[in-house]
Formats: sequence, structure tokens, C-alpha cells
Amino acid sequence: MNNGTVLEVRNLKKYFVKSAGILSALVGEKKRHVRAVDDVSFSISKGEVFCVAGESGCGKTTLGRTILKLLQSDDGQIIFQGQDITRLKSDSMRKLRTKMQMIFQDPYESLDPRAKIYDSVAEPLVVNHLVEDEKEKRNKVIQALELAGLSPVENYLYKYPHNLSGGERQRVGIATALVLDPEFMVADEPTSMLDVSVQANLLNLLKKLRREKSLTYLFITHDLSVAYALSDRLAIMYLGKIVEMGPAAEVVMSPIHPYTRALISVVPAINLSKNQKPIILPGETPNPENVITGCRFHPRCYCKVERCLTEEPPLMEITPGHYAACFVQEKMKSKEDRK
Amino acid sequence: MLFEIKDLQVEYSVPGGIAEAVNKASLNVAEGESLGLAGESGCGKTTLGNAILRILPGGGQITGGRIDLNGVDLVKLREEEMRQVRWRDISMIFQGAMNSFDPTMIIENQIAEGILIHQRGTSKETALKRTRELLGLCEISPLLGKRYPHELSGGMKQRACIAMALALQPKLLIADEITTALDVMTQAQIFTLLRDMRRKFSLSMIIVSHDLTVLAKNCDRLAIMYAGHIVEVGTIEDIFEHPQHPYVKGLLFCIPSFAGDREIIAAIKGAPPSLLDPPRGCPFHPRCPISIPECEVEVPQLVSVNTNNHSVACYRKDYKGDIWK
Repeated sequence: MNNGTVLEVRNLKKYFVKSAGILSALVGEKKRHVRAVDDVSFSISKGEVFCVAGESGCGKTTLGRTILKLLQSDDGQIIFQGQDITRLKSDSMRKLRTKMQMIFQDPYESLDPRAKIYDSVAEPLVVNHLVEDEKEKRNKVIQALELAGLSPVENYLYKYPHNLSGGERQRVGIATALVLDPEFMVADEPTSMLDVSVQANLLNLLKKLRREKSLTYLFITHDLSVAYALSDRLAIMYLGKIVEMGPAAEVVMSPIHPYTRALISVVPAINLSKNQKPIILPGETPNPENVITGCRFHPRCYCKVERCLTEEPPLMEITPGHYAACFVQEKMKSKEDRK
Repeated sequence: MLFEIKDLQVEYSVPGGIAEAVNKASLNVAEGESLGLAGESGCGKTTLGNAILRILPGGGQITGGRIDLNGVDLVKLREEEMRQVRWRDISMIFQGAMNSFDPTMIIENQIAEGILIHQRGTSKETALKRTRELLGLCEISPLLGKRYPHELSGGMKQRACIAMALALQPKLLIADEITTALDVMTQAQIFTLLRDMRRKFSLSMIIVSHDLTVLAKNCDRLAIMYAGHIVEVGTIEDIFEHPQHPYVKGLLFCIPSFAGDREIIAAIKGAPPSLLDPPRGCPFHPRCPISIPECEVEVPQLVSVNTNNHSVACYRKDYKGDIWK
């Protein structure tokens, strides 16, 4: 890592216990686990945009929340700027939180409807005791709102969320994160509820912030075309696991894992080769409560071999920096290498 | 022409005044054709779809224009007559339709009940037989037909909605944002199913969506709406390769694509106008970089720009330069 690693995640696991209900508990039925994040490892360097993409229920949101310790992980390590924060107590975590911020999906739900924009943005400063006086507070709030592209600021300071459009609210959400001058941001589907023209402006704002403040992002999205436009590296999740990871352009243009290949072939994007035949997978993503032996994707896979039914493939480096968890692809690759 | 809308006007009376949700909209759909109706939130696309079936929510009403289905003007029909048209001639699948099943009834009974109500004299056995055929066509196993709605996934419920919408073999199907809440893989499955059904029943469709890329893959022609006005209509190729309206050109730039440079040109700044107080003249002129004084006076009409009936409502349609770069 040339610029130094900001975040490293090692073998992270987050399981949810599915409550069995009184009756099943009485008859002694075993509790069932949902393996939302199951043995996920990656690292993000300073100034990098790392994107995690996948369909609903793949565990991408849980991953983001577990990293920020909004959820307690079950196993594995989270290392932020060289410090293992996995077991950090809440007081020490509170100090660190100023450096790690989150942008939420729903700009209609994530702002206090009864607080003026000024108070919403100032709140993180107040609760963290980061400002000495009113003047400093005001300056910081104005600065953050300007950075988030809300200008002239005076038009926004004393408005309520309901006076603003979805795009403006999301910018307020970004300002609320920026006011603490963070180094790392988790953005969870920040544009999925916005119109494309608003989304385009917002994605460009995130790009600009990264350039000017060398912010590092973990960007979570279901939309592969957004992931492609924004990220340096891209990881594809399926049922709690990363199945493919590599430079974004490579993952999108020459995907390796059968799941990624199918997923990209059905994204209705402009300029994707018209002759490419969509690979439509049969059925639906299985219920994560059910444990699948071997490769999790094998029940829907169109190129599985026997080994896939019994053995779980690890994430293997297929080409430099481009990883995939697939035995078939790995074997094809090593055959090519021998030639 | 199977279906034609001419100068349709829809208004909502709301506490702040009268909102012109659809303004002099004209459209047509041929038999077996799939027309996409696109635009950003609040542009009036859903209102237009609802107006066709005359199911506008309270405060909304059609104040002018015609809606012709096989030569019959639906606007003039009495409510009882209109009730016959709904579902039998034109059916609709809504955005949240998959959550509108009765939770206390198994899927196949709900669909059969609908058939029984609309086609008096049908026996329960016939209705159930027909329902099972339909579910089969929509790739829902007989076993799933006997389940309750909550036992089905979103994709399966959406398939059941399609089966229900096709139950009386309508001529026109309106699909309003039907895959918005679904994953891309499920979305692809649903649209493949719709395409098959369209061929099988030579069904005409109006697909309403905010997502231009989805429409590009699943429609023959596209109509783009902005602030209650249809601003451009053309084939997929016309719209995507040779867009004419400044708004449509800008909108296409905003969509992140899988093309080479990965730059998003965030073209259009600002927000659409309030429908309560729309600007005079072209609704897009306040955000348009090439507007001229004429644009602020009168609303431009849709005019044909090629032999293919590619039409655009813009006084500056002949402008050749780069508007948004």
C-alpha cells in the first residue's frame, strides 16, 4: 500500500441470531444464524474509494455498520489507522468516531425533522465538545455546508428539512459528516433515492471531496454503474462473502466470478456491448438462514464442478490485484498460465 | 392505432392552488408495441398512467383532451362503463402492487375471484383452471399458487401481479415502476417474462419508469416528460443516439454508464419547477443554457424532426453545439 492503509478488515464475521419463537424454544429447536457477514477481508488505502456492491440481503450494509461499530462484530479484526478497534470500549470509540463518519441512504429519515439545518450540522460539534464558542461553531457549520455544495449558505441555515429537496437534504447529511473533518467515510447507498440528475451532482461532490480533502471512502451500493463511475476498487458480495474483488474497471469490464459475470450482464446500462447476451440466473438468492455447503453460489451456478458442492472456494488472486472465489475460474487460469 | 391520447390535461386541486400535473400530452401506442414513459420524480408520468384508467387520487381530474382506445373516448365513458374497461381492456400493475394482495387469501383464489367478478357466469372451476394456466405462464409453480402472499418473495409476488393483470387478456398493459424495488437479476427475469407475454398475446404496453436504461432495454419507443409536459418522443435509437431536447441531452449525460472515461457529467443544475407555479413558456427554460426570449413566452409544441415520427418540443431543436460540456 503506497499511501498507507486507512482501514483493514481481517476475517470479519457478523452473525445474527434468528429468534426461534417460544414454541420452538420449548421443543428445544436449535437457534438459527443468519451469516450476514462471513469471513470478509480487505483493506483500503488513503484517498481510495473502495466500493462494495451486491444485491439486497448480501450483507453489504451490515458490513458497513459493523466496521463503524454500530454493530458489534462476532469475529475477526477491524484495524483503523493501525489501531485495532474491534474490542474498543465506547468512550475511546467516541473519540475515533469523529474520524469515521457515515452518510446514510435515506435523506428523508436521517435528519431530525424538528431541528433547523444549522442545529443538525452543529450537533456533532456540540456532543463531541469540539468547539469553544458560538463563533467557532458557526464558522465550522458554514464551512461544512459550503463544502457540501449548499450555497449561498444563508439560504439554508435556518430552514427545516421539509423545506429542502431530497438532493439538498442529502447534502446536509454530508455536511453533518464533514463538520467533524473526518478521514474516512462509509457511504451507504447515498444516492439510491435520488433522481439521476441529482445523483450525478452528488457523486461529483463526493469525488471532489476526495480530491480536495483526500477523504477515504467505503462506498456501498446495489448499482454497479454508480460503483463503476466512482470507485477505484470494487468488491462484489454474495450471501455474506466477497466473491470477487479488484480494480473497478477490471471487475466491470472483465469479470471473473460466474455471479459477477451474470450480474454485470443484466445491468441495464448505456454503452454496454449490445451483442452481449444477458446471463439470467435461475431462481432467487437463497435464504441466508439456510447453510449451503461448498460454494454458496453453486445452486445457481452455470459452470460448477463437483468440487464446488463440497468445498468452499477462498478468494484467490487470478490476475495481479484481481481476486475471485471460484475453483473453475482459477483452474482455467492456471491452465492458461501453463500454456 | 390501438391507443391514442390527444392533448390530455390533468389537474390536481391542492391546498396551495391548482397543479397542472399533465399538460397537453399526446401519445399513441400501436398493437404489440411497448412504449416507455420516462422522467424524474414529479414529472407527471404516474399521473398520466393513472389518468388513462381514470383512477386519479382525490383532487385530481381530467380537464381536457381525449383518451381513445380502439376509437372509443375513455374520458367520455360513464363510471360503470369505465369499470368494464379496467382490467378487461386495459390493466395496470402498480409500483407497490406486489404488496396489495389480500394477506388472508392464497394467491390462486385471489386471482380466480377477480375473474369471477368480471366474467359473470364463469364457474369457480373454470376460473381456477384459468388462474393456474396463467400462473404457469408466469413461471409460478402450482405449489406457490397455494401459498399466502407473505410466503412469496418480492419477485414472485410481482410475477403473480403480472398473471393477475393478464387474466382477462387485456389489449393494453400499463406497468408503473414495477421493478423499482427489485434487484437487477429479478428485474431482468420480470422483463424477460413481460417480453414473452407481449409476444404471446400481442399485448401493447406502456412502461412507466424513472430509469431510462431499463426502458432502453425493454421498449420500442420512449416518451420523456418534464414538469407535466411530454418534451420528446422517439424510438430508443432516436432518443439515445440523437436526442434533441436540451433536457433529454442533459439527462443522458447524468446517467453513469459503463463507457470508457468513467466521468459523470452532472449536467443539469437546479430542480424542476413547482407545478403550482410553473414558469411561463417552456417549462425547462429556467434551467436551459440555450434558452432564448421566445422560450419564455409560449409552450413549444411537439414537432416531428424526422420521418420516423421522432418529435421534440423545443424552439432550439436545431442548435448543434455542445450544450452541457
